[in-house]
Amino acid sequence: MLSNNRKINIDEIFRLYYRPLCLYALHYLHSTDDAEDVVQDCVTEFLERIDRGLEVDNVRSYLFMMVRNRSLDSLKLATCIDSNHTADEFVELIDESEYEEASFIEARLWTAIDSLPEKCREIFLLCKRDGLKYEEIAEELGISINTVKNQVSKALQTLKNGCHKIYMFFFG
Amino acid sequence: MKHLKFVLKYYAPGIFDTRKALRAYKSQHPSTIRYWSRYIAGVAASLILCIGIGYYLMNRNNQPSLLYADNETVTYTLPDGSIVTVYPHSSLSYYSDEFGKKERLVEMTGKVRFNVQKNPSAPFIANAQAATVKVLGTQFVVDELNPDSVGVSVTSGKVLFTAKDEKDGVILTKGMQAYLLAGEILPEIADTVTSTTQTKRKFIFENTPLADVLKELSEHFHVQLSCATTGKMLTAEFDTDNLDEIIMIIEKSLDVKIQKRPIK
Repeated sequence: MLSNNRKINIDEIFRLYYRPLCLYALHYLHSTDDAEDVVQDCVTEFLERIDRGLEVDNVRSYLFMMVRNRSLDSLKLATCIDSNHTADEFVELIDESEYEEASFIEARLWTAIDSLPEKCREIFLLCKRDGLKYEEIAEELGISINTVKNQVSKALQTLKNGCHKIYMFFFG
Repeated sequence: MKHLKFVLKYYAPGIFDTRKALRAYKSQHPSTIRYWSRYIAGVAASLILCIGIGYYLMNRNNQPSLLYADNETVTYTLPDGSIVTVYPHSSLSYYSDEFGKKERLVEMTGKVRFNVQKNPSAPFIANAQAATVKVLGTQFVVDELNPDSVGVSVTSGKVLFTAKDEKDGVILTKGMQAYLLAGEILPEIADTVTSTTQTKRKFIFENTPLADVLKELSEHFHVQLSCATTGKMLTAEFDTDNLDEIIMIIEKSLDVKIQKRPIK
């Protein structure tokens, strides 16, 4: 796509890869703070290398490889320091080949949730993330159960459309 | 739906914010302007530097401000508020762009009275042809009209009086006067109140050797007094500015003969 472009557009790099890279790192690190730190370090270092004249054929692969290596490094470090991080966190890494593709879909979902109307997003998160029942949400927010149902299905529809778009964009 | 599940597990509004991350990156890397603009920035920077150096050099070559008194005494106020009185046939000059920055340097000839504004961070330096006077804030007169000596007398404050390009000198405070004779390295303090300030002085001698008495009177009145008989002591009190009267009294009381010659 933009692989052989000699001129690197910083805005473009961030727009295309920042959020997918964050989610990619999140698969390894299980902490949004850690993931964001790793990605910011990697992107900064990558752009500095480019500045110093590094030629990269495939920007996307290069960035994901950097983030993956940096994430594993910080996991190893954490395992050494903190015994709470045990080997079973590595078990999930087995099918990591999917992570790169998955992270784009997840990034799209993340963006779609971000773009939901605030009230709709709140209801959706209470329902799907926090596992509250429709009745509980209706009671807590002082709205009718039907409204809750409507908002949740509206949110799901938006997310599906968003997801579909990204599928078409990458694989269509 | 496992993607959604994963996203929902961690989702919170406001994190993984692409725009925020981009802004943060750009604020930390202002140097990542593209090549051409960096080039232009370089050219602009060197241009500004050239203009700056040129401006500096041009200012350096500026003519000094020159204050000159021909036949009458002229009083000027310097940029720092110090007041100078330039006596006839005397002059004072300074570089106005450098005056007061690190020091307040003036060059002078002849006789100039200074009333220097206090400013400890920028010492006031008066360069005469043979001597340098450095002060922090005071009132003093530099007299170089006599080709054989430079006289400095201080009305108030404290000054350092040195020969030109010498480090060591004498510190003069209120009421003190010193002379630097031609060719000497160190000025000599005259320990009487000066004729410059024109005040009457009381001379009190208690069992003082005649030689010392004559020396003191010589310095005060700028004459050379000598006496063939030196061993005698004098106890006296003179409340006058009339030297001849003093000489007469001494001659009578000690029965000696005193020679008076103008100082060369």
